[in-house]
Amino acid sequence: MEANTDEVEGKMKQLFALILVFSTIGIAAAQTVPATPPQDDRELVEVDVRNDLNLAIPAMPTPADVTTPAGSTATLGRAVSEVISANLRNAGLFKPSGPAGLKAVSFAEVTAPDYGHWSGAGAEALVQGFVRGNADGTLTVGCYLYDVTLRSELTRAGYSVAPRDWRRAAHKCADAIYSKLTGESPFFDSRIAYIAETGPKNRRVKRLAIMDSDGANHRFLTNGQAMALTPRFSPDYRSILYLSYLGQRPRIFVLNVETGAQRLVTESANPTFSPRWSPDGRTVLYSMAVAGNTDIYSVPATGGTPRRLTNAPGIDIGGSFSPDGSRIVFESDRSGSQQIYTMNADGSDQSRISSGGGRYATPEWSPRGDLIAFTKIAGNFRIGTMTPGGGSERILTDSWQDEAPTWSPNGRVIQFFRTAQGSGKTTVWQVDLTGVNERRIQTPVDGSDPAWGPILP
Amino acid sequence: MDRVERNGLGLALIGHVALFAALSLSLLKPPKLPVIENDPIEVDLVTKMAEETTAPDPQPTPPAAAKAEEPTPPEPEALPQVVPPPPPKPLPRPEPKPVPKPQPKPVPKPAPKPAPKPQPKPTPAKPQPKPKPTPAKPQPKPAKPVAPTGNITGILGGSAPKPGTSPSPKPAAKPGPTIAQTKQQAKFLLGSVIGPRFQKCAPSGVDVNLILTDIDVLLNADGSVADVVFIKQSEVNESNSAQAAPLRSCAIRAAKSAPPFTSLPKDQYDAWKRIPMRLKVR
Repeated sequence: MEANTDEVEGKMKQLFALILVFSTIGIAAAQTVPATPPQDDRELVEVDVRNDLNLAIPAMPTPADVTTPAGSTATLGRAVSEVISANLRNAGLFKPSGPAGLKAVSFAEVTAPDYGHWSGAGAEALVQGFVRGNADGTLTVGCYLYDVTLRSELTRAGYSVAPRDWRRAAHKCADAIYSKLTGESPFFDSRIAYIAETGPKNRRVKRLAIMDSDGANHRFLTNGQAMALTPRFSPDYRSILYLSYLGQRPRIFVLNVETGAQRLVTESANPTFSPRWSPDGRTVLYSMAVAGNTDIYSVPATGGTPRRLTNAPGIDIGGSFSPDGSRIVFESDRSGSQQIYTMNADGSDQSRISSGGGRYATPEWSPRGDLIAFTKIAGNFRIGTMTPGGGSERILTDSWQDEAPTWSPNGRVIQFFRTAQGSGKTTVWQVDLTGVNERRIQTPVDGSDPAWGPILP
Repeated sequence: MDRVERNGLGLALIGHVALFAALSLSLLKPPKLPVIENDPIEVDLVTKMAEETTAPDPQPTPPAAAKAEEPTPPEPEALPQVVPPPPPKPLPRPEPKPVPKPQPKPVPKPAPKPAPKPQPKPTPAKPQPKPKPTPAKPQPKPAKPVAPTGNITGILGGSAPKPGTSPSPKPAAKPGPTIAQTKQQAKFLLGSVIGPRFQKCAPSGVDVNLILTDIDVLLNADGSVADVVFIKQSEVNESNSAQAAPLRSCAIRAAKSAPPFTSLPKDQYDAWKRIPMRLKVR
C-alpha cells in the first residue's frame, strides 16, 4: 500500500514537472513577440518650427527695358522683388534676402537657375521672375519659386497688370510663394480700412482711411467732419460699411470706395454701434440701445425695417457672422459681466461660450470658421482666440490696451489697435495666429479700428 | 491573438495531450531509486569535553597543489616556423592538438636570409595528412566534432575550430550588431539628418504640432536615398488642415535632400533599406 502511494506520488510529481515544462515551452513560444499588437516602429522625429527658411529674392530682369507710366521695366523688376521680399519678411515665417546684395540674374536664367551659386550663397529657396512690357501697354510679371536643395521648381505664376498695378502683381507673386510654403490662403494682395486719428485727446478727429496690406497706397475716404468708427469692407470690396456720428446722431453708411458716394443704411436717435456685413453682403448687423437695453438688430444692406435678434436685459453688442452665415457671435453682459455668446442667424439658440476669468469683448469670427478672436479684459486688454465652442482659449498679446481684433482674409493674422498708456496714442498692429511676429503697421497718423478686406480679385 | 501566440498555445496543448497519453499508457514510469540501507553504527555519548581542542593539526600547512600538466599554448609567432606538423601517431585516443594554429601571414624575419628559401607555409587548409587507418583504432573523421574529453586539451579540442574551417588565429571577434540593432541605429541616423532639414521647411500654424506625417525612406545599397514614400498623415483637423500638404511636401523634400548614409553596414542592407519615419513639429 505504501509502495503504491509512493508510486502515485512519483507519477504525480512527474506529471507536474512535465506540465511545467510544456507550459513553459508554450509561454516561451508565445513570448517571442509581444502579446500586444506590435508597436508602431516608426522613428519619431520631432522638431521645433523655426520659421527661418532662407529665401533668396534677386531683382527680376526684363527681356527689354521698356518705359511705362510706372517707370522702366528694369526699375520695376527690382521694385517688384523688393515688395515680395518685404511681404515675406513681414509675414514673419521666412528669412528672405535681396534684392540688395544679391547677384543680378539674366532673363535666360529665370527659368534655369544657377543652383550652384545660390546653394553656395546659403539659399534654401529661390524666388526669380521677370517684368516684361507688352505691346498693349500692360506689364507681365513672371514669378518662380525653386527649391535650391533639391534643385527643382516648386511653383510658378504669371500676372498681367496695368503699370499702375505693378504692386498688386508683386503682392500676388508673394502670395503664391507664401501659399506654397505655408499652405495658407493668400493675403498680401488685400486692403485694410481703419480709422485715422488726429488732434488732441478731447477733440479727436476720426477719419475713414484705407491702404494696401503693406501700408502702401494710403488714402483718406472721409474728411473728418463726422466721426467715423468701426469700418468693414464689403465682401465684394467695392464699399465700406461704417458708423458715422454727426453731432450726437449716429448713422450707418455704405461708402463706395471708387466713387466716394455714400448710401444710408439706417439712422436713429438711439445710440448705435458696430455695424457688420453678413458674408453674402445682403444683411447688416448692428447694435442699438433703446430705453437702456442694447440689442442686436439685422437690417437689409439696402435699407429697410430692422429686426431685433436679442432681447435679454443688458447690453448685447458686436455681432459677427460665421463664414457660412448660419451663426452669429456676440458680446453680452446678461450674466453680470461681458461674456461671449453665439446664436443662430435668426437669433435662436443663444448660449454662452466664454468661461475663463475676466471679461470678454469684441468677438470676431475667423474667415476660416475655426476660431473666434476677442478682447480679454482682465486688468489690461489683450487679444486672444478660442474655438466656436469656447475651448482652446489662447492669449496672443500682452500690452496695456489691445482691442478690436479683426482677421486677415486667410484667417492667419489678427489685426488690432493698441492704445498707449498716458498719451492715449493709438496704433495699428498685427500678430500671427501662433502668437509670433507681433508688429506695428505704419500709418501716416494714429490709427484704430483696423479691418482687413478680402483678398482682391 | 496573433500567429505566434496561437503557435505557442497549440504547442502547449499538444504537449499536454502527449503527456496525458503517456501517463495513461504508463509509458512514463518512475525511475527505480536505489534502495539505501544504512547499517546501524555505534555512537558514544560524551559528557565531558575540553575547552580547547588539543588534537594536533593533521598537517600544519596544506600541501601544495599538484601542478597540473598544462599544455603550454604555442607562441603564435613561433608556430609558422615550427616544422610542419608531425605526422600523426596512432594514439590510443586521438586528440586534435591546438598547436597548428595558422597565421594569416608568416612573420617576416627581421634578419635577411642569405639564401631566401621559400618557407614552408603553414597549411591550415591542409591540416594533417590523413592518418593511416590502423586496425587498432580508427581515426576519427575530421569533420566530426570531437567530444570533450574532460581535460583542458579535450575541451579545447572539442571547441576549437577545425583546421581548415576557420583559419583565423585571432581571438574570438566581438559579435556584430544584430539586425534589430542595426535597424535602430539606421533609424536614429536618418532622424538626426532628416530632422534639421524638416525643421527648415516645416510650416507653423495652430495645431500644426498635432499632425503626424509618416514616410518611408528607401535607401540604395550605397546609402543614398532611392525614394521617399508618403504613407499617411494623422491628427489633421479644421485648424491645421492648411498645413498638412506643406508638411507632407516638406517631409519628402527633407528626406530626399539627405546625403548618402555611407556609414551603414553594407552586409546588413536588408536591415536598413527601408526606414519608416514619423515626422512632427512640437
